Amino acid sequence: VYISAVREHLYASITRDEVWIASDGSLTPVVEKIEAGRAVTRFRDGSFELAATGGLSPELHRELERAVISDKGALLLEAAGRGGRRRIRLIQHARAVVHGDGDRDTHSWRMLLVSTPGGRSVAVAPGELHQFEHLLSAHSPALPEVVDHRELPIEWAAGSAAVLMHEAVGHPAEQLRHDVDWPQWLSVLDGGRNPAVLDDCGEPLQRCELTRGQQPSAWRRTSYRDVPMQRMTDLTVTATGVTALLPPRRIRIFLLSSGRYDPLSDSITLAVSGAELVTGSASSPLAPFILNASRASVAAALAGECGPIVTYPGVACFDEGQRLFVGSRACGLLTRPLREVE
Amino acid sequence: VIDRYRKSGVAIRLERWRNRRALVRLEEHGVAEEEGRLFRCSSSGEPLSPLALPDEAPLLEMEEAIATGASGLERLTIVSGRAVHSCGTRQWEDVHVRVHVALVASGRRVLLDAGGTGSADIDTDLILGVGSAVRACSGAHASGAVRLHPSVSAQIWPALILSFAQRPAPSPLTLEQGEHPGYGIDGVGQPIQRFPLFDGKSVTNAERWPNRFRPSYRVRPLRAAFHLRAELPVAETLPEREAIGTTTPLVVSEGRVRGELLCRDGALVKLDAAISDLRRGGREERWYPYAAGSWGAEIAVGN
Repeated sequence: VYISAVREHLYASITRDEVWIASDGSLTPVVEKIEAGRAVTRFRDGSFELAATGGLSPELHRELERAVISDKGALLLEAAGRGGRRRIRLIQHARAVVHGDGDRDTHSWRMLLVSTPGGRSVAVAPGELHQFEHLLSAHSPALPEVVDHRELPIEWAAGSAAVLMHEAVGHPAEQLRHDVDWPQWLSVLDGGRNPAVLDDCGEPLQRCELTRGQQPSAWRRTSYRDVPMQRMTDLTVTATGVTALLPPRRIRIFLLSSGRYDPLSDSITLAVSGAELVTGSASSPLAPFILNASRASVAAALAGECGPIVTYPGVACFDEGQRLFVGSRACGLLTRPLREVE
Repeated sequence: VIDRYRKSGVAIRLERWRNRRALVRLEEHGVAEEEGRLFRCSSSGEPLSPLALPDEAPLLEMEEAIATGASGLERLTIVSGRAVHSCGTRQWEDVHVRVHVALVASGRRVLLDAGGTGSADIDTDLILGVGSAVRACSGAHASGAVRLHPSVSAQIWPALILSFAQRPAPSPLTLEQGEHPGYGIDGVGQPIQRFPLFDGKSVTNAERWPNRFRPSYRVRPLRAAFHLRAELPVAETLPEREAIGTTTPLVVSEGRVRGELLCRDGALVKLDAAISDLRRGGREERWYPYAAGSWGAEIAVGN
């Protein structure tokens, strides 16, 4: 849809990707990857053409390298937590887009992926981890409750509705699939929150309403070797005018470990790693479970808004071999039991 | 101990997906090292030796043939490249062509991988045959015996060795690491030679496998069995119906192989057969890039 906006340009990037194992406060490095390169990128006759080469000019290398060398000691210590074992991955990325007419844009980001042996994980910008530490360190009982999640209403809390909509609305919109009728009160917006940030082809991000037939405008890529694709950037899920009353017995989801959209079956799969069974004013932890649903049944199950907009720890989204981070914020949403709508 | 590995590579990559097409010409060099538990790698601007990009013409022809001839094409990736590697005192080169195809119809997806050292190794007719079968597929199931095309049987062996490593099932089938004329050196510069993996009763522990697989300089090399090759009793007769694709990954457990097969005539067949009942058809074998390489042969399944 926005492909005419892609001008021929040079894309250059450096990515520094490190993995550390934290065990009772001590940190051991296990992986360190540094990748730098450039690609002349053009779109013509309906095709992308990339001429990609490893390595950068000394000037560009110096400029981008500054953004991926950081004092990470305090960051890693914070991520290591107070005890136990954790896997910490720190990805630092800087890229430049240079157009033939002299337009030039540089951008950099850092992400921290922290996971526990219990299957809980968050992907956050450094400095934000303390906001989500409780999700990682939440007590997991030896015998968590097991329920049939299809029989119960679900409260999508702590911004987790952003992941539900990422899979049920976002990925299909990337593929121009707009064949599900979403409630008018629901809005899933992508991009455009920060006008200063350009996409990976150096073009402005547009604000796109994914439940109203629009496709994410941003052309994004993981590295110089990858072909730009229209992908989500920064998802915000809101609801207007339909407030749902929380039923006394329900599932409350606050953390997911992975998600997937399958275009063939037009269904989504979510791996829920943090959830509890709420009964009145009491709650008890639930064992991790897998939720499968068609997109149509997700749309039919939506009951309304049940909480304010909250930032969810970012989503590390893997599609077509390219891992990209998608900012995620959502109001609380309530869904009726999936069994009722199928 | 520090193992230093260097690689220079050039490649052409053609991609088609979701009504998009891309052509990527790639040249890159990299270094990787292991030091105890730590794996380090980085891209480098220094080539090991100069390399010319492969000829694009045969790839474009192949792309055109598949894209116009195979219905239900969801995704097509064709990669052709050459690389120079060095590790320790050894330096070696290889060339490769790889094709990955995803075809969809009747709510099912058929994945197909093919590879070799040149375009001539890619069986385009098979890919087009799978395309025709996908077009003919109504979702109806057939029953009875089938023969597996080598591209299907090659998918069984990597699953089989993983399953038998957990729990071997006695079988007249034996499995070994084989050889490939174009890929004779592993990811750490060691020669890949024939090596027994399953003798019909027991499995050689993976810690004793002599070789390590390094599909990219960015990946830590892992112990792997290369170019899997099975020996089986010969079939007395070959079933007429031929399975040329799979609509689900083939799973081996408790001595049986299970999955769903797509046959040349468009019929679907539920596969649920004892490994001990597999029988070999002809002697001809073809190599496929499943896991660290797998040799497929025509196999008869009583089912």
